[in-house]
Amino acid sequence: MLVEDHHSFRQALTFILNLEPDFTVVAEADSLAKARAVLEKFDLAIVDLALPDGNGADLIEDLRRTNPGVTVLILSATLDEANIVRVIDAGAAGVVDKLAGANEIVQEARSVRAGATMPRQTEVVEMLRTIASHGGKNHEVRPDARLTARETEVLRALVEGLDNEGIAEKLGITLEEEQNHLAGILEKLGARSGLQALTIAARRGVIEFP
Amino acid sequence: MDTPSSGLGARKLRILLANEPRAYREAIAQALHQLRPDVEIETAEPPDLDTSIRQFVPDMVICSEATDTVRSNVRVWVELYPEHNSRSIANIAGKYEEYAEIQFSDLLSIVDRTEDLVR
Repeated sequence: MLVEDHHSFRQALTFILNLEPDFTVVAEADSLAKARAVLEKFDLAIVDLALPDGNGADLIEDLRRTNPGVTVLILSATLDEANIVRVIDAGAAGVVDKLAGANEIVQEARSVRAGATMPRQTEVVEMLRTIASHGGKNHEVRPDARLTARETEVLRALVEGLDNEGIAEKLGITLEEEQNHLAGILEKLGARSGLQALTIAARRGVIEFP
Repeated sequence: MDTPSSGLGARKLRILLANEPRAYREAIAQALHQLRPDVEIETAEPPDLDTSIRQFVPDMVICSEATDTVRSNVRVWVELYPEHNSRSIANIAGKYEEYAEIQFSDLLSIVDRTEDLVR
């Protein structure tokens, strides 16, 4: 689903996404209210932050209720620090600046849907710094949430900006093993995405960043 | 500078997109290219708009703010979401049209009308 109030852009992006073999846009909305009223089921929501009736971050929880397992990619022209913290805390799997090219948006959509940590290392580090300095929402972490040595290695590899394949290759494990470790990390940290896991881990000092 | 309004002859219709942000510019350019493959489409950063007009000599421009160069040299232009508003303005051979929320189909229609004008 695409949620974006500038119609001509949304329609052009829909057209481009529909040309891709792995995407079909099943719903579009130009406001929070219309997005909440969408009845179709979808796997991925690309959501603009600045909508006429509110902040796109407010939609993330609602989308998860109606579409469990949905991945949310935030698209914004106003990516200030407070907004980055807000959307990651709300469970967005990724954030794309509208200064990015159209092909980059498509690629990021593909990456977050595949579960990859999409930002480059410098962006990850910058986000972690931002979040560490802002504090943010306290997440429910399991009392026995002690990461294994391997899970910590996977987290550190995420900080380096590696995708799933890159992490598996770096650690000499299979892709399936890497995904199992990532699933364990998400569960223990109460995170919904690799990016959110990084932010929680950074706040709690589980990992350090440059 | 060539005179784009004097008829296309054998050349293709030319459209220059220099609107911001980049995501809008590229998405609209790509969709236009797919739907109107016979149209020559160029993109430019907004600060390069005037230079690009002199080099590319477009028949139509889509930009965020129409400069004097746009207004005096391009027959058809669209100010798309100026100052990030939802309102857009099209100038089609001196006739102004205002859109409260322009659709992609409106842009396609303006492209087709531009082709009719300059052929």
